[in-house]
Amino acid sequence: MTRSGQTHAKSPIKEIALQELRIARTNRMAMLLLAIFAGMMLLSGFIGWTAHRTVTAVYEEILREGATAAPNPFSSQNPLDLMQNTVIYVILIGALLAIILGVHSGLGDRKAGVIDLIFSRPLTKSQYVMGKLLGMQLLMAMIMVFAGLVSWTVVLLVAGKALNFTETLSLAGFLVSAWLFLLPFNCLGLVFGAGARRESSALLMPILAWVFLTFVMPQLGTAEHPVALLNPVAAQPAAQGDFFQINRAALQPLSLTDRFKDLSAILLHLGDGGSSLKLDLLMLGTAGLLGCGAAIYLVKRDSLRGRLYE
Amino acid sequence: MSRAFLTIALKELRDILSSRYFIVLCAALIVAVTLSLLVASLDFHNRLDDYNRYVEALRQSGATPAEAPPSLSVLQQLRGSFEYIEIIGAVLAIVIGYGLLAKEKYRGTLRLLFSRPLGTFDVAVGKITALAIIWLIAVASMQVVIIAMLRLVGGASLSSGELVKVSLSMAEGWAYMMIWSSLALGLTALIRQPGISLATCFILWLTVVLIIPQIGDTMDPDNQVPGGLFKSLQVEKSREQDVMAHFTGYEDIRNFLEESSISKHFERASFAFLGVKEIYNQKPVALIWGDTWKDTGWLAAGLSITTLLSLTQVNKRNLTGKEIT
Repeated sequence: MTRSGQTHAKSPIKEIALQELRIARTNRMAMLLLAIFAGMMLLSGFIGWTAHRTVTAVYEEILREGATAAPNPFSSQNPLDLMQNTVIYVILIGALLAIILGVHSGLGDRKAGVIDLIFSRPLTKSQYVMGKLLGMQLLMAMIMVFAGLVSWTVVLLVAGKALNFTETLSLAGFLVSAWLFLLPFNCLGLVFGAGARRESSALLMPILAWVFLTFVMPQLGTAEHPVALLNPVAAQPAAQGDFFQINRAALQPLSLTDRFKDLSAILLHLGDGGSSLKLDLLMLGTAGLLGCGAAIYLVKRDSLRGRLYE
Repeated sequence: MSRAFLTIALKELRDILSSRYFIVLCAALIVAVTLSLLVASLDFHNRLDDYNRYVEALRQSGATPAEAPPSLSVLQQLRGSFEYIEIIGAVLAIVIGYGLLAKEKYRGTLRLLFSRPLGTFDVAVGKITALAIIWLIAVASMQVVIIAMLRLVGGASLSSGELVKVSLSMAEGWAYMMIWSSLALGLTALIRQPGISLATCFILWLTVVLIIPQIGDTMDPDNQVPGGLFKSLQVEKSREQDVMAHFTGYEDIRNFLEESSISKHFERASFAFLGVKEIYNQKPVALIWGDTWKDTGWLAAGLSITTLLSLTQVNKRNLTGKEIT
């Protein structure tokens, strides 16, 4: 009600988005994952610092023993090197967080049995989905801003100096790319949460899709072992041969994880980025748009009303 | 305990084996395991071809090659396959263990089930027995596929010693998946909302299977430089240990972290039998067992704890009134 007594009907998309933000606060699992994510952000700086210090000490020991004349391979002065592990945590924890938020969002109204009530209001299905997506993206953006603040502080504490303007801009760029990378997983969670007949498959299917994108797809193009992803530094050069070259050409542009790792390496100046910034951004942006489009198209009123089994 | 647990186990077995959901999930795991084997074999043949071309070129210029040809024993090709069991197998095990109890909660059949004359542990033992048989079937099927693929792709028929090693690695895999299934079963009984128990299991999976080993890997100095620190500094393998002897405190912390993950114990034990770790390659089973029995012991301890969790939680006192209506 306004002061003049006129009633302003709020945009339904905005209304759903705000409701989404309110509900997210009560999602204990998402909050727990968020706490783990924040904890790992804090820890990653410390782990990076410990590893750097130890490698330097190992090098000095080897040098003292006269076993090498090679220069220190680890003499980088880039403070953003401390973010190497953060890239991996976005892929591991961030993606699971995005999936759980999406699934929870899709399942929430179904489990509460309020779908019919919601659609008794002047609201289309597309507006409903767009409202949910907007709410979740606002939340993900807040998480990224929080992650940025944590990372900036960690670098200040561990490296003993604040990031300058250019480095802060690089960090911001990395966080935007992380948000873009997580968007399709968020959408995937929403689609399965809204449509799956079982709560278990609502969670399992997006997680399996993530496992495929993260572990299987890169292996087909490089022959890297599945858990090689856990190591921030590439263990071996990509495999040669027709099979791998064809797969690499066909699959790597589509491998969201590879694109994100590549883009992060370019933005944070971590070694050679590999391909181009434009291609990586284009692929992640396209995946995000496709994810949103798929969510709007694939979430159906009938499936939202459908009964939920285990 | 009455014989009713057998009836429950058989009913669960029928339910799971007739579930398209289960068949599709197991097929996905088997496809990933097979694909990984194929990739390892192709990669090895490519590297061997490259080496042969290099030797030929050297020979034509009158030089002799200084590097040894790439080598990969038959079982070493299974490394990626076992990593998939570690990652995807655990996810499937969680979903199957969760499903055994979640379906009763959603259908509201717990009250009916406990109205029957059952012993305190009948339901828990019945469900755990069903899980044990299901994973035995899954692991045996995987072993058959793996052996067939090794013959088909690698052109290798396994010796009896190699068969024993694959079987032992698979037995470790069975225990590993049982740990995740019993944990999911126990947590679904403990937590009222099945959805929360499932998400809790996935968070535990993420922490134990991926995050803890990731921290351990990152802390390894050799993993900090592409291709390995010692290799890039041209330090011989024999001197590597002498150097690291100066950093025992750091290495102890790293080792402690890795040992806190049950996945790492599964990985260490199975990789030793498969010869992935070079010091165990082509070595007798007794020698490998002597070095890795502690990892198997950790798996056994993990299985005992999670089974105990299921036994103490899946009972009438805990579950009555926990249906989802």
